[in-house]
Amino acid sequence: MAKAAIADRSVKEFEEKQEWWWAAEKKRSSRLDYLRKAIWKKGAIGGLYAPGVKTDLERAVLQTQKARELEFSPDPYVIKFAKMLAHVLDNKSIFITDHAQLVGYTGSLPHTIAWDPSCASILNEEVYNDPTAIPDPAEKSQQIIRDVNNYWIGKSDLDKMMPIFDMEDLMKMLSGSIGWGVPLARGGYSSKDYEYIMTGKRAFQAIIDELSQKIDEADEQTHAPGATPDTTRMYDKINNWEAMKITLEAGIRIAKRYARLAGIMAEHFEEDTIRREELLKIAETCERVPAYPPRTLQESLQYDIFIQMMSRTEAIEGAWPSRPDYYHGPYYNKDVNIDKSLTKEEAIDLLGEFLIRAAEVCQFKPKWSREGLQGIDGTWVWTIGGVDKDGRDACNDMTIALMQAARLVRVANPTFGFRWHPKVKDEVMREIFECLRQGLGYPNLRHDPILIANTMHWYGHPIEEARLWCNQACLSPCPPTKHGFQPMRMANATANCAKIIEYVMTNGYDPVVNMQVGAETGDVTSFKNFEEFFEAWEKQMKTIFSILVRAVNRARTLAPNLTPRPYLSALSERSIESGMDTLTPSLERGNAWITAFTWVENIDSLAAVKKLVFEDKKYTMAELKNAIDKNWEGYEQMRLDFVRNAPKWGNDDNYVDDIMVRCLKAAAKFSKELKCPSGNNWPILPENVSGNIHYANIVGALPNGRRLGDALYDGGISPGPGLDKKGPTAVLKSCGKINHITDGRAFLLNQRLSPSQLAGEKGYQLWKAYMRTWADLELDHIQFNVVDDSTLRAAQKDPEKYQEVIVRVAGYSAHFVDISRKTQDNIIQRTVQGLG
Amino acid sequence: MSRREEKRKAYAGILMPQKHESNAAPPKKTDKLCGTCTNYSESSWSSDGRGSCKYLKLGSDITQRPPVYVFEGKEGYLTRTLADASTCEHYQKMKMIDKDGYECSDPTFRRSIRQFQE
Repeated sequence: MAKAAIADRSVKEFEEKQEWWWAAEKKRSSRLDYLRKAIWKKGAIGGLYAPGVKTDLERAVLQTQKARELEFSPDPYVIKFAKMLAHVLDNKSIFITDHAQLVGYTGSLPHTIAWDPSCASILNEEVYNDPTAIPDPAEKSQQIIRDVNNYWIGKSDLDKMMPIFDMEDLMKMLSGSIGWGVPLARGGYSSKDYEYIMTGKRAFQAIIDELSQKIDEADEQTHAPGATPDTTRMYDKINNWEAMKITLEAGIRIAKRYARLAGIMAEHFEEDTIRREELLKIAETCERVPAYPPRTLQESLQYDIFIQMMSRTEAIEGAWPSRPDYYHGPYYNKDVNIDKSLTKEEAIDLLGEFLIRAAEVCQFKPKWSREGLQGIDGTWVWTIGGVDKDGRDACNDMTIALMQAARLVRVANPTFGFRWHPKVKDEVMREIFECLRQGLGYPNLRHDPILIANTMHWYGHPIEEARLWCNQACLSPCPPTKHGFQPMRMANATANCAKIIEYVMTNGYDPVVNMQVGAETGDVTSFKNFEEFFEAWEKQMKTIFSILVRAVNRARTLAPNLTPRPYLSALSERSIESGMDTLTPSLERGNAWITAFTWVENIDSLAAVKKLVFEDKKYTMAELKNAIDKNWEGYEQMRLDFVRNAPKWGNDDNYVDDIMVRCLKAAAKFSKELKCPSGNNWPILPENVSGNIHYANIVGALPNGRRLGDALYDGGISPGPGLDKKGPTAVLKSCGKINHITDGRAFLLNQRLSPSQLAGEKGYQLWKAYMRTWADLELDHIQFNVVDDSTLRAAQKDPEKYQEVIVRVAGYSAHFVDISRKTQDNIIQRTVQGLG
Repeated sequence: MSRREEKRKAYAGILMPQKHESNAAPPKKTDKLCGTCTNYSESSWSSDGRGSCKYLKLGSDITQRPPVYVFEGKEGYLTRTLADASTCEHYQKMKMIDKDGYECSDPTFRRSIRQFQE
């Protein structure tokens, strides 16, 4: 919209028309407006990066340069790796965005996406083969990329890991048909020991001092009279401690470089006195953190950004686990309510900028990841609300301020997951509702008492730790505590579950990737009854889950030696104490889960087969097999019968709901037979992100009437789009038949509500009543899209005009214009539920 | 040879990316690439150019002279998008399409190569 047109209309006018994005633009401060517009769109549009966004070669070159230099040095690998990391931090280009109060970015320039060449050669090949993101001049860049890639072949983490994996499992995994992600310690979702580093008790310098003391003590011990196996182990500990120290020292140094830059800009280049003061404040902040604990909100937020930026220098991070109101809230309270050094508006400006700084973060990701997370770089689902370790309401003024800031800056990433519990005050619920009503698609709501119980049930985390949980990825609680935090959730344990039912039909052979991937469960036409069919389903489920879990278990076991994480270890109390890498399985309790993409297709398919083949005998199994082999081509009437006349999940129909519960219980039972290297369980967590589109062309025809190429359901335990015909309460009742504590780890539920119905006080009361039913039925999750079809269709026709429309995809939000047409259509197809 | 050894041998060539010749002349152009053949299926896990043949089975080798064709077995012959298929007698060129590169719902296994001009 033209600038003049925005200026001429009032906030009220925009709000009445539900054009919340224009209203936000008018309401936010000029600083926030500038910063919001100054960020580059980093999430991939469909599967490709946006025009103008380029791969950052600087970091790859720096790391390769140092790796070459150290190749023949006598240092153990963990120290070499720490030195490479330090070299990157010491030499990367840094910048400060105009008007910004917070600094730090993963790349060397604002439009670049950081590329870590040491993770996987196959990723490096994607960098080379992605002409849209290669910086100009292309020929010179390609030469640099070739040089970097050639160095890392055989040396990258995945290259080192692959030959030691089971070859057969590896090839099945590499086919991409059953799993999504890599079994890597430096590519996935790192949780952190926030109780150690975010409570204000210590920061980097205190940890460095402790490490120095530990190294001296150990050194003394190793040279005292005597020699035992403990003495021998001590050498490895010393190496680990030294590596940790190298990374923390580099972290302090890069912060001081920012301080110097801000100081130079203030002293020599800035003419505006207010901005000069701001730059000097940045300099003071960066001198303070991360070396010493923060004293103010600005320092606390800056500390968090540095921690995350460095973590993203060490690894490719797919998530940003965080509980901002819990850990930054005390500083907000001190600055705004006690010292009054910040007004509420100034604090909201800072929080808005904090969201913007997080939104711009980006690292080069492979195409399968970009397609599965269209529109965003990773799932920064920040956890807010909930309770403290004693079970008291943890919501504070910053919980509210964060939601207000989110409505002003309207970024699609990070989003919030709100931990609902019965003591949440009405004023907080109203803020959540306002975010939803204004079409942000977040916060999603999580049932705190259920999830605390679930966390204790599956992993035995003590209640005081379980109560501190925050999302490790989209919706997986993990306590950020000494033994509770999981250092790496390897995304490879993400199962494309629609393959379970597909393989029942094909005897385990995958017709898309031409490989026997599943189990040989026999010719499906020979099954005489539903029990035999279900038995085959169970075997395929167990086979797929096992392949993925075996790979992750293997990688987690090898990781401490082969692919250590000295920086993450340095932020972890258990590693400081033990001298062992934080990935060492014996140091943690275990918090593993299998993300179950495309789960509900199994339920609707099983119900259709049970009803139409085995009970009504309307079709023989041979006819069904034949139709599916032909992708339903020539069998349209029969296909429609399987779509329309078989029971469908989400309609409070026990026929199919019982099948859902049976499948989940079978998976839950098997989850306890699968064990992670820490000895704990592998429960399943049905959700999808935008994997339903990524897998659309990889999953063949299914008995629920789906054809190869059709979008899969939007995931978790959400009913198929348009197939939940009995209203919103029936959906909740179906979902309420699942035991959300013992049947799995968490269960994503997407719902679409009509914006017009949510207008005014009446809308709030309707939604609140609906949420009471949700809470009473003890569902662990729910998220909402509140944007009407006409807006979404208008956005499809005229994307330029609707750049800021946000939708909840599944587990994350994205700007509607950044997701592929197929994903857009899939969201529009979701049933709009009427409340009341 | 044990079953494991057989598999390891068959998969060996496909596991690691090949080194680039930094200053070499561009590879000889051929209009017959595995990636442009209807029998080729791209690996859905990675876009680094790996894939398999739906027609030839594991054990085939079209880089040999004469090419080795195996039609028995379940698992497809592992090859690469840019592998030279000029000597493969079973090569069948696919149709190119005109499609937005930002859309990831390509009907035939997301093969970006289908968007190349003829």
